[in-house]
Amino acid sequence: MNAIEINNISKSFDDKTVLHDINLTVAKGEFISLLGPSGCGKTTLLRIIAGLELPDTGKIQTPANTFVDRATDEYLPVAKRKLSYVFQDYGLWPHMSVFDNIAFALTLQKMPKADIKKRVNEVLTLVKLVGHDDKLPEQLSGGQKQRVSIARAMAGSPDIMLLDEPLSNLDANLREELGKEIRELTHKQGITCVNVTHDRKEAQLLSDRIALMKDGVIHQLTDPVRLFKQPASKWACEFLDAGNLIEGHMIHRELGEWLVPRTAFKIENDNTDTRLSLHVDSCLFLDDRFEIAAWLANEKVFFYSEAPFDVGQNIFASLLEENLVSIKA
Amino acid sequence: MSMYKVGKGVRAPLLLNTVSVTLLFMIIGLPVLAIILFAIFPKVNELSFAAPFSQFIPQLQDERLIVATLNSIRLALAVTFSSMLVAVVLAYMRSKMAESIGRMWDVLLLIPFLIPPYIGSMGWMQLLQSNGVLDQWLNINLSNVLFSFSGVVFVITLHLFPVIYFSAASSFKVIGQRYGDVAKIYGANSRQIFSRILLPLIVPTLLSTGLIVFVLTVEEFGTPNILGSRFGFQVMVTAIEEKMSDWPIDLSGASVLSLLLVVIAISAYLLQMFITRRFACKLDNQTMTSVPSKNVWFSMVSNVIFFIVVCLAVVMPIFAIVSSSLMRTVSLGLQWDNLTFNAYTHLFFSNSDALSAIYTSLGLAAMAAVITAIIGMLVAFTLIRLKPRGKAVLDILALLPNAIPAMALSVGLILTWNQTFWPVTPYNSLFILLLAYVCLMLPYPIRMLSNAMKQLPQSLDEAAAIYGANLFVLMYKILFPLMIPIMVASSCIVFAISTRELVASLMLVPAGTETVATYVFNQFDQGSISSGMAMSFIVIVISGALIALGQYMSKRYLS
Repeated sequence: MNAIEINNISKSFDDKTVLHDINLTVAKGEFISLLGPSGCGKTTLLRIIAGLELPDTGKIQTPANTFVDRATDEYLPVAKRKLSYVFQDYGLWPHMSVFDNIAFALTLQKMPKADIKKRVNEVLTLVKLVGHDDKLPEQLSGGQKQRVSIARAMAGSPDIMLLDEPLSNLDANLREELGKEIRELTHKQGITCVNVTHDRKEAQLLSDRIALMKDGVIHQLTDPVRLFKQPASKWACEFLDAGNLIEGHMIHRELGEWLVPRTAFKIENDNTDTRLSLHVDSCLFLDDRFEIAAWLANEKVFFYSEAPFDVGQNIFASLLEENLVSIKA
Repeated sequence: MSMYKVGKGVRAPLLLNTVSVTLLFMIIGLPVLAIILFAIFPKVNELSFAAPFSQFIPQLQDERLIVATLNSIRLALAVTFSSMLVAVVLAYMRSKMAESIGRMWDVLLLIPFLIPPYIGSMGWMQLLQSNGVLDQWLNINLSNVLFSFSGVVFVITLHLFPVIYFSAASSFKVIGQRYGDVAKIYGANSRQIFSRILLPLIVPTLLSTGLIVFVLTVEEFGTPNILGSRFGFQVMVTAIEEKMSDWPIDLSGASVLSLLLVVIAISAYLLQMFITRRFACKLDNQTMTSVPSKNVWFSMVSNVIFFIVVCLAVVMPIFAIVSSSLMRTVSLGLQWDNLTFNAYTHLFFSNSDALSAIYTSLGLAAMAAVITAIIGMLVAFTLIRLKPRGKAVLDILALLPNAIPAMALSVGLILTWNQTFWPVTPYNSLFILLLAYVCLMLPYPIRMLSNAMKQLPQSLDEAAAIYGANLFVLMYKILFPLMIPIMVASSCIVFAISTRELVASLMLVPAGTETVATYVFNQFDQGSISSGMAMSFIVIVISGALIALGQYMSKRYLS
């Protein structure tokens, strides 16, 4: 059974079409990311799922409810969808303690006080914030605030969690750490997640599947590995920064453009007809390997290498066949 | 945001918009409409649209009206220019002053706001008129200077120049150093820095605050009435008052003049908004504070000039008010054995008129404070959060009170409610005063609460909805607790200003009742100087404390 079924969703603001006939199904327990540049409609789609915006056409269903159906004019108010939502700016109520923020929904549901206390403690343990219950949001760091926001989202044991750029306000190290935690927590609890991001690394880190969006349509929908190894278009290659785009004739292949990932270059000692002749332009040590920029004729290419090269050095390379992808125009 | 309006049966935005629009229309729309109708149709109170414009042309050709109008404009221009001059000189010196001393002067220059100009004028009369303090002590009689056009300009300027000073000071501070330094690095000389950096950044501020001073002067009644009446100087506001109070009452004349007044005020206000929107630029957060001047002479001269201004704008009026409140007999002057606290004890213990005036004012002010805070909250929530279709009407109604002079509003309220066709009317009861105060004070809560509401992220509302809150729960669990400090702050300011409001009080107070302002005014008229001044001093202290409290609360909240 699918957790969310999205059919034919369209939305315009003031004559500008933001979403164009979106269809998407999310499986139970799946973590899906809507990835795309700003203005591609990803956030609007998330807000439509939450009920914060109303679509012009289409239908969204879960096993239990019809969230919205423009054909029959059905609409389930936001408050009744029993969703959870993690905001980019945390959305914590500044006048409430951590405890009150997390307990908000449970209090409205009139859960007994002792049970609320127990549940808040459970989720605080999950996000590693035990002992912070009495603090006000302003007393927390950005990472802690987002943890509270996640704890609040998990308190009501929701089936569906929506995340709007949950990591983008955090600094790089924290982003990876918290991203991994979000993934682990949501998987363990079996929560179906829809995440919005413009950051491909964040999408890679979190997702089972990624819906790459462009100009209000889903451009490509697949798992992270396939998406990065076989982008559907030139635009996708460029947006995902998947590697070099090189004309076929320059790499001794048939016409058209080819995606050559940075890992596809193999440095050779000898020069033959099939080798590429490269002139090293720069050599940077990044993470745990070198990133080389080199001239292939008048085209600049980038690749990874275990060993460094001198700027100005001429080297020869072959390409690992299985990594190359022919890109349709 | 469609979050508030999607879904079947969700009519709340429409409802709140309708309620807000209706309320504001009743409070501000009706009187303005009444002025316009009466100006055009002199017989509209008989429900007749006969003889449209029959009064318009004759009124506009009335020589006294033309003189009063020209006087108003001349006075407003003079006050605006002299305020600008004082403000710019002070602001420039302030930007080169050490922060500790500068802050002290800033606090002192807030005090003129607390002295209502009608009380200030009375104070200056005690100082400068024949047989006044200066005459008795130094044999200097400056009554000719005070009772002249320049005297009126002088007194109003001392009350209003801080409006320009504070915004000019903050823009001088920002541009004086950093942007100038950047221009220097890219090769500008000081003349180029002045003309290309300084002027473009500061002129819009000066113009827009100058226009505010212009409007405030056109609206000003107390000073032209108290000082001007002694040398036959009449402005629009005093002319309207005369038409409404001297027999035979000239309703259509008053409404034509009021309409003219409203048109002038609204034009200036719109121009001010245009300048602010078009030219004001957001300055980046200041990372460098300005460097105080190291020139000893310059800082000495600056401090002396500040000292003189503070003496004129703060010390002298307060000295005059306090000293004349303590004098047993005015003619005996300021001598030790002529001093007594009788006026104060008299106010509270033996003068039932004074006490009931205080109760009336405090009661009305408290009600106005609460009502404006609630309406302000409603309007801010509707405008900032719900953004319903057709919010333009509400936008205009919410801005209108900013530009309606108290005198015009009073005329409008009389024209609206002194009609036989209403089954019930607030006219001739304290409710009409309450109505007037609410309308006059509405701009404060609306502005403060809208700004505060804008600073609250939308995600707070959305999170509440996601986790199960309906509009009611959102209001009382999230928005009210967050806005309460601002509501209290605006209430303090409304309360403080209402307790001393003069124009609407004079025009609308029911017979046999007095407010603090009318009490002061009438006591002064009847020559009971000490009793009026004692009341004035109490009002200044109370309203000052409340305004300070309100400012403190809103500042602390916004940081």
